[in-house]
Amino acid sequence: MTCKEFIDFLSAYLDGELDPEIQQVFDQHLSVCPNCVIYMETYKSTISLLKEQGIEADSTIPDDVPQSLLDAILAARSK
Amino acid sequence: MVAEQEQEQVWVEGLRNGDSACYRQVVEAYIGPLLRVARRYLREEDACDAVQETFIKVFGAIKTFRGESRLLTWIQRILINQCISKLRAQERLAEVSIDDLLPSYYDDGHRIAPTPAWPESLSTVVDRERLCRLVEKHIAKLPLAYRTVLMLRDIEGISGKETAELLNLSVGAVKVRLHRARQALRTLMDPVMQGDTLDL
Repeated sequence: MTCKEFIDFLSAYLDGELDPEIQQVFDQHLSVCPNCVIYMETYKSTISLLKEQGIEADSTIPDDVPQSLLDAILAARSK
Repeated sequence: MVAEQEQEQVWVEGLRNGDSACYRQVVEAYIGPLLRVARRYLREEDACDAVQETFIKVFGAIKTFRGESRLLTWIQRILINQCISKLRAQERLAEVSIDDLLPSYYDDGHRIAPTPAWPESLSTVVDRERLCRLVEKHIAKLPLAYRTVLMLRDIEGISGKETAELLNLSVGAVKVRLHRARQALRTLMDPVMQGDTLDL
């Protein structure tokens, strides 16, 4: 297996969507290729950053509602 | 949860019957959470427009709501569609070509210029709030087709099937775009995680 093949199927590998035999080949590649280990770890960290982004947005993005928006939506109904 | 679902059923019936008091209750209950979602995608003015347009669509289409999901979930999907439409209509930002952000390989399949590892603890590089803003800044550089998939799948946590339906893509195409988008963001975040580029 080449690094290109490993990275092409990395997402499926992490999602556990590969056939067991192919997964074994991936595991073998990982055991001999430190560059791909690093790539996989940084890829996983990227996903963690994205998930964190969702959690952070929930706590920091305000849900205050401008009165003008509320009025406009309610008025739209009465038209 | 049961009480919420019962409340939703009352609202759905009321909306179908044109009950004005019910309309007000639904707007007041959902406008805050919806605006928060819209603000993730759009600037304030556009976010407000998207929410307003969503309510108009919702009340026009309430008879088509089949109750297969929560009312709020159904409304959120309509909102996200509005947000995506607005993003598509906006002028293209200074997007980076996705191909330039994917790994490059020699003919034998080995990677050119492998990157160093990232520090185990992200907090050693930059504080959490700044890191989030840096991630946001780099997501904004991705082409829209990739940005939307990344936001829906990894930030909103929407399933691959639903994302495919929202974007009129196959589930396979969503997977491909998501993988490429994550790789591209990984490349953009690399200098940040090495502590080289922390400017917002």
